[in-house]
Amino acid sequence: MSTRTADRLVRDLESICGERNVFWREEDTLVFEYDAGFDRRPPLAVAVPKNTDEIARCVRAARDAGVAVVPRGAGTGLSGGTIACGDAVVISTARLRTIHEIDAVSRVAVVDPGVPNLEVSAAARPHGLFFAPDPASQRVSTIGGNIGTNAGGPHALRYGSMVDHVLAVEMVLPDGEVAVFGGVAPDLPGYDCVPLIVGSEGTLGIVTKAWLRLLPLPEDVRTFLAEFPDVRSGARAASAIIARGIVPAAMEMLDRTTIRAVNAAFDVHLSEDAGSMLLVEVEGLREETGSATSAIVALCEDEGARGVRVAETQAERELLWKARKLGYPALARIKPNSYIHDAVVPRSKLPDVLDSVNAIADRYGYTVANMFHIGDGNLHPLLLFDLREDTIEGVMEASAEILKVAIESGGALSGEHGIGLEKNHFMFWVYGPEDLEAMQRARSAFDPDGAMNPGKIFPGGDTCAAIPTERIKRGLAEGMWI
Amino acid sequence: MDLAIYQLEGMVPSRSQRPSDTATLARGIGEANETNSSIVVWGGGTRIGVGNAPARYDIAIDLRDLSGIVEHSPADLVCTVRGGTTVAALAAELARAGQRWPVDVADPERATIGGTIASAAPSPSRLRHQHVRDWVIGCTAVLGDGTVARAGGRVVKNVTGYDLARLYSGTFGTLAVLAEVSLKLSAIDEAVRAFRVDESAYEDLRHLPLDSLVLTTGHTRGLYVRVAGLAAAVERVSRELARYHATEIASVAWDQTVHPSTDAADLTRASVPPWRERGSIAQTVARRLGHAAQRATYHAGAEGALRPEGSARTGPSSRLALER
Repeated sequence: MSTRTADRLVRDLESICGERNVFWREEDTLVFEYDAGFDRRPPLAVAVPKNTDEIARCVRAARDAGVAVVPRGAGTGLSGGTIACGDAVVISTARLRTIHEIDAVSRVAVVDPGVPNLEVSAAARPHGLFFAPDPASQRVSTIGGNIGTNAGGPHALRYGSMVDHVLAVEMVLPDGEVAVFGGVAPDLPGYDCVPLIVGSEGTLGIVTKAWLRLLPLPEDVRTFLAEFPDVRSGARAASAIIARGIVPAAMEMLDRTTIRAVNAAFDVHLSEDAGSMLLVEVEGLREETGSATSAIVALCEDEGARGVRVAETQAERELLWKARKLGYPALARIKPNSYIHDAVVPRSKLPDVLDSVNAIADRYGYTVANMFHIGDGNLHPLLLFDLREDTIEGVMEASAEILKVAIESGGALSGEHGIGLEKNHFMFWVYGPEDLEAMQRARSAFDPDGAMNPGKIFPGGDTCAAIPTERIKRGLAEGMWI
Repeated sequence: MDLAIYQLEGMVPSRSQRPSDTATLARGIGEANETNSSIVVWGGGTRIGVGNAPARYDIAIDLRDLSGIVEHSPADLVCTVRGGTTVAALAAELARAGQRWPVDVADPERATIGGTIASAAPSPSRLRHQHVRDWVIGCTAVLGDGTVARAGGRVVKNVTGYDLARLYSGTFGTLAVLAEVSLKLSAIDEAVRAFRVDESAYEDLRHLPLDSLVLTTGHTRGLYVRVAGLAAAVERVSRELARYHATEIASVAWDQTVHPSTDAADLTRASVPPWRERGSIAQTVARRLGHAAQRATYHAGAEGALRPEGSARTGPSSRLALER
């Protein structure tokens, strides 16, 4: 792109958003180069509009200049979904952070895309309601970003991910038009594109407002930890609980590496000689939580659980969850760099898949930490390494092997982080050309020019080829495919 | 072949197909596409009258032979079935493992899984289990040109590409035909009890953990609720319902009461936000339509259906939204 085109676009964006809200100098765009994942790439410019109208005008200005657009929330994504490939403009929703309405009768929150996830539940709580999706990043990650990646969190086990909780969205389309999809009333005439938009990772448009489902706060909550001698016995217990038809509100596994890191970072005093732990939460009526707790504890004991620690107070419960949700930063004490996975596997396959994952990490010589949503089969093995000693190629290769094990067990590449540019080349491990073509047709209905968040989700494109790990991953995806 | 059974709004197709495997279905659709023929996809026909009449109607594709359970993995709480499998047939198979697909339909012996999803069938228990699409985790679909395309998978949490399986729900076969679907399952409730309660209870009931709430007018006029779950919990909620002059009703009576009649081409269906319209839902719907409802059924969390008084038209059942 010519410098003149870029300059003119920056001036247009400045006239829309004000000079203070457009960044284009290298030192100003630096923080927009990356997300919480591994890759980085500088955007052409960053615009921070204040409302739907300004977003729409920014999108039109970019389109007129022939420049692609990348929507961005808090930048906590883990799959490179908000990284601007190919000289794109980042449009941030950071200034749209109003909670417009809590409708306690129909149980709906109407919010801006830049509202942090946790603030929705905080606003709903006085009405006896809560917002169920609770990604670990929920203190900062935004509703718009949560919609983009179909975020989940521990409680997605019982309540489902974002797609189950978004009733409607207002969206700026790639041509700058504004449209509303879905509604508070269900099954409106016409297509309901909400489930297509949720999880589309910003490739269809920029969500500028969302109508979210709220749920009544449960009457009773019980939280407990079951301690196991090793990972396999904990995984067997989790499989047995699901096989019995018991679906807790949340069920998380922590392995020994994680337990030690969490103990060092927080005052939780988890037993360090445990090989694994299940952190289980059950919610509902008192009779249900009591019955589920007894059944789960019995199944854990059948699989060799050595002890069960019950959170007796709200403070203890909050401490356990804080340890879980801030567990990843705690792991940075072990090694400076890490690479997290998000594959999902059938729950009956958990014990074998975990064995294979740990064996792969061993073979490559990486420390692996497992802290994840075991109840829905959503693995988060975290490879810990030190880039001063280890090569990124090795990490990527081990990661590809882990993904392959998950896919071969009948699983999926991502449960809640999204595909982004991190896993797009692996998509053809899961889908054939016809399957991807059907998705591409849906995309083209919204974005025929491919100007919204290019280079994400779909395999094969070269938009992000300037990012070094892209070449490595592409090579691995093609090389390991039989 | 009696093509009259596929009659819609007085339109009779010139051909019909009844494929029993995905490849045959795809070939049929591909050929129809090449000859520019228009298709109406049939399951059990229980929701075929919803929405507008087709503009053209050349071929009826009947999916009832594309049936059977492909895989049920009880330990994973998921299964994969062919689109033409009836809701009752699936329920019978799942019950052997103590499991169910928690979507209630008016006529489970006729309604197919594919049709239930494609027509976003309103289930009284949406109050508790939400939309039918939230229990669909993947599909094999045939697109309008005969392309066979999968989406989603067989795991319960998934953001690997676009969630086309959920998108297809409620599109009435206009985007794709569901050849196979993978479903998320739940355990069968230990206890289920249904009651007729005083209509004045409507406001209060919002705060009880109910499985279903249905308001009807006409000869079955009343407020009906169902409670389901663990026996001890159902027992306590049932005791709380006693305050509202609850009379218990049998499950057969529940089924007959809560579903609007399926052969009603003269039904008007309306979507309303949950809980918003209170006890006057039927009157409100009727007022907006400009005539009195003879009989109305309203599923909290789903939709209302009403039969306008004196209606004798055989036109398609229309849909309208009262509020976004």
